Amino acid sequence: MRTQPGHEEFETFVKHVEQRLRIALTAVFGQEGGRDAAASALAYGWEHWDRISTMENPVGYLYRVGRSSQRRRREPMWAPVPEEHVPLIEPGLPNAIAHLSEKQRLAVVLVHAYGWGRGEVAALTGISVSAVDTHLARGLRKLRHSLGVETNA
Amino acid sequence: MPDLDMQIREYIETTSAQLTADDILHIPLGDEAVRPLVPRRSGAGIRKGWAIATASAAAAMLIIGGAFLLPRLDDGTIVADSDSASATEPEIVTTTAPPPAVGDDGLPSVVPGLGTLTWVKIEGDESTLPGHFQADADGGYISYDAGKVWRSDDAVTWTVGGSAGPLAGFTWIQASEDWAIGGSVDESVLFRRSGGEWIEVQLPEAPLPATTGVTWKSFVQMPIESNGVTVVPAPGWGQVAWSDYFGVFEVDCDQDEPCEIEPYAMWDPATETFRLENPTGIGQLATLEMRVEGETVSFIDTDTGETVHTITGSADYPAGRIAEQLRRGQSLAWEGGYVSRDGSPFVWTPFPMEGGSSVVVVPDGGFAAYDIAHEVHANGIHRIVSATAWTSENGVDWTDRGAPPFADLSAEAIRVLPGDTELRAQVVLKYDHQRGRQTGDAWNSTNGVDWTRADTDTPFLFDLKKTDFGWVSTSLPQNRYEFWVSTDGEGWQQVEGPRGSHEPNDSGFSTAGGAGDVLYVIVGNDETGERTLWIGSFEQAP
Repeated sequence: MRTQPGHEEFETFVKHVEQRLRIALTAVFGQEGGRDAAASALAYGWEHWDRISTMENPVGYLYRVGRSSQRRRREPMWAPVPEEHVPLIEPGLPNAIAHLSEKQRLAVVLVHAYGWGRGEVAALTGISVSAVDTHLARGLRKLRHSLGVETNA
Repeated sequence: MPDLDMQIREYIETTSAQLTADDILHIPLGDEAVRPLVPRRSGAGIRKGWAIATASAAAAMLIIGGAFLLPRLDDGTIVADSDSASATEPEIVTTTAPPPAVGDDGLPSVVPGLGTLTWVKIEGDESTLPGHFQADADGGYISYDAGKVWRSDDAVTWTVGGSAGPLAGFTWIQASEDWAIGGSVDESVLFRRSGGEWIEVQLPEAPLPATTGVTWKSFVQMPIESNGVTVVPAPGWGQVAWSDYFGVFEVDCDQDEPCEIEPYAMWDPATETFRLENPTGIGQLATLEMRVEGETVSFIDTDTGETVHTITGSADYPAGRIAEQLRRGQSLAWEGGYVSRDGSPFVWTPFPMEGGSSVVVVPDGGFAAYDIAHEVHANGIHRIVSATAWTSENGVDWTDRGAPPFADLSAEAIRVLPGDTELRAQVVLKYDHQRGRQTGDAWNSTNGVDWTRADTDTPFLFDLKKTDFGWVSTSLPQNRYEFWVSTDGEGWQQVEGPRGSHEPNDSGFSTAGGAGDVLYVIVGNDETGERTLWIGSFEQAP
């Protein structure tokens, strides 16, 4: 591990923001792509730590960095449901999530699965709150339709 | 079974690995590999109008001129002096051992029609090797990496010289013969080549006046998300361009709910200017509520309550039809109308297809588009529900051609890829979720209407790139690039990749594919500036 000025500060930053950043980018790119994107974004953050550390919304900025980094243009890969979780998680869930639009997927995962506020999603992604609402509603509706779930039972 | 919310959370948490600061700060180096030098690329016989297709969630991409986009995050400065005639000689590691007929991974290195594939590894840094490159339309290879113009005859030895001019300073550049997009983290700029120079496309400062008969076609989604720019002549109204990733523009409307319309850049042939709706490169969604009163369709910005646009129906497009098409989620535009968030106008052209359809240039002339709809079954399997083909001579007026013959309702997915001489439809019959590999049928067509079945059990390929010798595809199922090559776009053969190439994710950035005469893998370490380039070339037996 390198010892440079700001290293401890960066490590604290990573501990604080990594999960949010990784979750958001995973929602967009799938597990493998999301992890790659988060790693790319945080590496960029480390390289430009002097500037990033002073930003008002470093997570939002690094989210955009992470998105920019994923231009290999391969389809997002969504891991199958682990066997031990099958009774509790619909086996078709990964595919259903993968086939939401990117914005719907992002909104659904962040808000409905992780309890993010609509304003937080809007701040991270740069879209309006009303747009987040629309993506949420449509994304969840599509998921339920895909999985044959009539109500959120 | 738990609530859907809980299922999603549980699924994401159990399948996503956490990162630590150690993961970010520790960047391992790669291994050694040796190969002889590759031959120089011939400047003769380089065709213009290459088509490069790439997989996307929705559609294929077409770029004229052989451009492609290589991602990386790097705003480092180049070391070489701008007046230097050549860069420091890179280290080329060679071997005297003959290449095996079959590589270590059991894959062939001899391709019928192409010869023996050999790889050479070049180690250098950001002053000697570009982080991305493309085949030059005039022969050889060219790159605009790090604000400089790089040139090479063989993609192995590079000469750095001259400023990239206005293309300098961007972290990624996508360039075709006449167009370029330069982008960085939070901005992107469009350039057009004029008189041999790159000219930044200026946005109009004031709204353009309504011009009867002038129709614009929206194209190029926000450049920072753009997957490509296609520029083709459209009879009667100059040039049009679009990004096939999202078709013309994205319209998402449900009845009684606000319509979301994401306009993209427009090309006005009269003034030869583009208008980018959001030059910051960060997608801004204009959420508009649609109301129909008489023959007027109004769009109200839900954030401000302001009526930003109205459409007056016509005999061909009455207000009711316009509204209905929008409600059904179909891409729609009209002549003479405007939608604007800040007062700048753009006019949209009617497309009868569903938003997001794949638009391709047809080799015999004109355009084709394919609406492919699928549904997801409870077991997670996808099945094609319907497929409709459309053709157009001018990109404006479209004809419904019905279901194409490759519309196999037992297929999981279908996509249509462009090509110089033939369109290619790939029908995915089986998808291997573990390996990211798919098998299925392939069909070819020169006119977008009549199709010939080409092959069975054709691998369904990602990141297709057109080269001088045919097609190359790469995929990254297990953090190691796989290469597939084809001379005719029909028969494919997997070939040995470069030995000892890095696992791309550990080193900053990586990319792979084919360009000109060669295959390539590029891996860069943004922390140290080190770069490694693998160039693969084919040699026929004497």
